[in-house]
Amino acid sequence: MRAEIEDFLVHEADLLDSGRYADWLDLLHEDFLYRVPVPLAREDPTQSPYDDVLEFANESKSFLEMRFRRIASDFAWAERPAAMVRHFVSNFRITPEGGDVEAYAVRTNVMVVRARLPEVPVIATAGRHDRIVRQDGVLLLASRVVHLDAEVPTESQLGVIF
Amino acid sequence: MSIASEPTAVPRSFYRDPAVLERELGEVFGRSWLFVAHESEIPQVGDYVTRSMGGDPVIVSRTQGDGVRVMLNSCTHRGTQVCKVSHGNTTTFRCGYHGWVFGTDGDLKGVPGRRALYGPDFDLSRLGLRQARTEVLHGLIFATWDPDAPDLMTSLGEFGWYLDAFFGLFPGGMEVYGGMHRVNVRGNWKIHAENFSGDGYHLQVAHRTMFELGVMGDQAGAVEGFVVNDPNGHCLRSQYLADEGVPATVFGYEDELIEKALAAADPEVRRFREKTTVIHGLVYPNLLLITTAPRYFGTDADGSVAFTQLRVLTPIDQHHHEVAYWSLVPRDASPEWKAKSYLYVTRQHGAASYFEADDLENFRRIDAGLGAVAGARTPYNYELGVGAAESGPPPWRGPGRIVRQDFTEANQRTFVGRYLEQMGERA
Repeated sequence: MRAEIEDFLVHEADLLDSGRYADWLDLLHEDFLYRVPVPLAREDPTQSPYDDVLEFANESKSFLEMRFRRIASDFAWAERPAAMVRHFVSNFRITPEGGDVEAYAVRTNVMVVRARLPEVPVIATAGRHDRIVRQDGVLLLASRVVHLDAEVPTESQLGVIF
Repeated sequence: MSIASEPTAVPRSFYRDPAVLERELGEVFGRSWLFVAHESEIPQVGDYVTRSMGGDPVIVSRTQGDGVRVMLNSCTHRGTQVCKVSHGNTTTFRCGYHGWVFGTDGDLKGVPGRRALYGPDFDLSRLGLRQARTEVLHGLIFATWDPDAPDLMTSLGEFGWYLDAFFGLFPGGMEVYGGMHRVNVRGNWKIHAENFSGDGYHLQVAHRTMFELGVMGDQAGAVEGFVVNDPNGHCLRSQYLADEGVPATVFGYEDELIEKALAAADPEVRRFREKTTVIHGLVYPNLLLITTAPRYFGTDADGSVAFTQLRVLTPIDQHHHEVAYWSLVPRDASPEWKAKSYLYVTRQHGAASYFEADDLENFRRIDAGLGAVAGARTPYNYELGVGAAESGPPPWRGPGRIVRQDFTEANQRTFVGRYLEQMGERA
């Protein structure tokens, strides 16, 4: 099971890195939600630094479809030239939910390098909290919460799907 | 100051020269009223947020007696920041270097070893945190370091009417949803400011994909736009649905809420707000505002809901600036509507949204195109609309210089005109 989930997430990252967005969307559950809560420094170190309300991104599957439809347009200025993107996914922590539906809470660390030539590449790192479910025999990504390691990221870092 | 006297060409050195940045921190950010926070961010005594006023870090705090203080976040001893986090609640700010302790009003409460080390005559009252002048308008907290600046309303000039219309429409007032967050972007801050001040010209090109995707909804139809500006540098652009039969309302709000608000509103304010597809603008020098009601953002966001976003631009260096984002909602809207409004603002105008990506891409490309020698000989051009005809009258009669053109750089000329005036470059 561990190998299957690792393979799934490595494949998923490969699809993003190689711009095969339609294939990537096929890995998403219909109710998929992608959230990037805003990190905020707090006085109390025992409190979560990720805000409950503020978010950099909140994207459903249908919204992501729009995002990729846009990329196909000649007028998607921020995507021309396209960025080089490379995901490095590691530190897999897999916990079966143990309910009636076969589902897993999967935590990973991710480093993403994004380069829009000729600019200098930028690096962004984050922790990911995924929910992966099996539906009709295949694994699907049901949700992803991205915990960025920067309180004030650059717009280049935010241009990444983690 | 007449429009004709305003600049139609600005040298690129104002966007590139590090000495210009140093001067503008003093002459522009040091002398203007700057928006720092909304009252709803610090509702309880002891609540605070940390912000920037140009190059100066500040604490905005709610003190005993319901006062709001804006003070330099820097110890009066050796200058250490006395508060390191974005927000919280406290009774004191304690410096982590030598332990000087300040109250939430900025008064110096004590220093370790006071009598033994500083002597009996050491006067704590001289050494409170440096205080900025503070004024509040519709819950918006403004501050300035300039003791000689005219008061806020005088500085706003005729633009005050538009801020009333923008922020005062709902009898229950508006509040910040969630809080504020920040992003660092490439490009001189003034490019971003000019864009928000009234650039209707870029929409169909820079944001063409948004029309292609159907997000812009009614804005793709028959619209009429107008810009308004004030010699103090404040600017605004509003766009109206021109078709007959468009309902006389402000789109995207819950029926009961907006009907109550419009019934209580001044008739000219109603005419200014109704039938608009978007209103955006700039409170000089660095507060940006926008309200609109996008149509479609996916099957889970399919409808029309309004949002109101504020931004503050803070220069990092001449080539980068920090953008702070706030979402404002009517205090009396339902929790469900507020959450939906925040979803829409995140998807359209959030830092990671693709509408935003188009603008930020242009700001990057402007920075990348600045050049050096030949660039310095090629000033930016601000002639749009100068020789063009004006349209019919706008639906409202309000103060300020109303320009009956949608595609015009009248507002950009106003912004850079006021900027150059503050910088001592014009009479």
